[in-house]
Amino acid sequence: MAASFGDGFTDRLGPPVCLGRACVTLGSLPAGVLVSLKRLLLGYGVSVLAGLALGCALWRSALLRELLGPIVVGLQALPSICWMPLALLWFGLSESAILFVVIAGSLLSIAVATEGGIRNVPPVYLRAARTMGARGFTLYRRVVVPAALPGIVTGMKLGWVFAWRALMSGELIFVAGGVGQLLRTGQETNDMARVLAVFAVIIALGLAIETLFFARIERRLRERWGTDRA
Amino acid sequence: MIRVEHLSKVFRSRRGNTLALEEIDLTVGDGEFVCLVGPSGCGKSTLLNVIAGLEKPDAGRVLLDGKPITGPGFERSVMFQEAALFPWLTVRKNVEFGLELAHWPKAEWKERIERYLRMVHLWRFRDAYVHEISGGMKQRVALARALAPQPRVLLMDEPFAALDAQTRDVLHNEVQELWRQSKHTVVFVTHNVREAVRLGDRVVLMGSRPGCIKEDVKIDLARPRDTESDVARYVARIMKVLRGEVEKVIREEIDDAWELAPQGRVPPGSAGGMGDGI
Repeated sequence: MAASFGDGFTDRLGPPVCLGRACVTLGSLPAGVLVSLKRLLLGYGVSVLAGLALGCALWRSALLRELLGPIVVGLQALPSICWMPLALLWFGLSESAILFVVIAGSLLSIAVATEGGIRNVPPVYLRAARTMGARGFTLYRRVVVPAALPGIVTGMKLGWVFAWRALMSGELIFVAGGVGQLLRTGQETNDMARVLAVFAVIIALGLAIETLFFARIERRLRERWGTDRA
Repeated sequence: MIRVEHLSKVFRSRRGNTLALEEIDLTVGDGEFVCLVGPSGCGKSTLLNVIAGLEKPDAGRVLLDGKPITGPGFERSVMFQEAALFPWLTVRKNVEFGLELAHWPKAEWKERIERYLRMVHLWRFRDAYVHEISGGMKQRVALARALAPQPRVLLMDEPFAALDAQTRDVLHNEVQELWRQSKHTVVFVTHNVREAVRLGDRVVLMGSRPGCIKEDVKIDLARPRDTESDVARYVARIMKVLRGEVEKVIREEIDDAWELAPQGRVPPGSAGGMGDGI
């Protein structure tokens, strides 16, 4: 197996030094990362808000659940990149198209997790809140969402990963700046070091978001709810 | 004053309809402490939920000071068997939640929170999260949360049933003391006759299938009432009526093949612990 790769494999992989140099010398990298992050935050932000609203609505209305439930679950099985042809037909080669793909990739998983999270909230919290006079939006903002937060955060994490993947596949397929385009260029210019450098950046970004954001939120939730004790 | 007029409530399920409450009439005067006692399934919790506005009656109505109750409201605080404190908030914030929803001016929150948490002896734990305190402490916080917004009525649904006997005893004393000072109107649901006799001005005895009021016993005992003395006399009297109701429930809940003991008496201690626990 190793023989079939031959020396060419290590040639193509390049020594770590080259990789480091590629990272440093890749002038377009910061700009590309910024473009991708901007898309990601925008798309993911919309997904979180709309996903929360859709999740609450699905929990609230049995009719909606009957109508949309199977569609939501079915569409979730659709890899986000499959939305791309549709997005291109609707929006053309534009920023909106790639945002659409990101949102389509992450919104539903957030909605499903939100609905499940709310469903697991002990009803007595809602009853107690209602006897204290909580109604309508206040009930959602002050009780339903905070009570379901552990489940919702899990969904948001999932949504984040899906959004990130959808964005990368989108940028790889239709070139429009961003990290995905850098990968594509690396492939086209036969520059393995460049491809691996972009890999490193993608992984580093993922790790940073996980440790700086999600891990902190989850630790705080565990401390508050007392679920960190066995 | 709470007036329950010709109240009926039907529970619908796939196996048919059950008349949970039939033509209930009940008046609870201002500052009166009324205990609802009965076997499981007699509808005592349902009656409380209707007064709380959490459930709608199928017939009849409930009036609070002459105004019909249409839904939940903060002038009627409710305590549940589970403390139902919010685990994402600290003790202090849990009490504050009630004040905020009752539209108390923000300037008064701090003072009221301190006053009521001190009253239940938990000021020291004000910044603890709910999982950090014991079951008895949780019910104390729930009591502080219920009383802080100054409700007209306090509705309690077996609030101490899940606590151990010692903790319950302490809380009985505290509730008596608090009530003596504040003179809230209280409706207290329990299956524990001793608890009811100890706390109530009146013990309203309910029967089941359909849920109805069997007897309304006025408890003429001086306060504070301790565990023994005259309490036992009332307990015995109420248990006599109740025993028949408990038997009725047991008969319906188990298979027909089961025969009750020859005298038709439920063996002592099997009546769901209705007499013990103080």
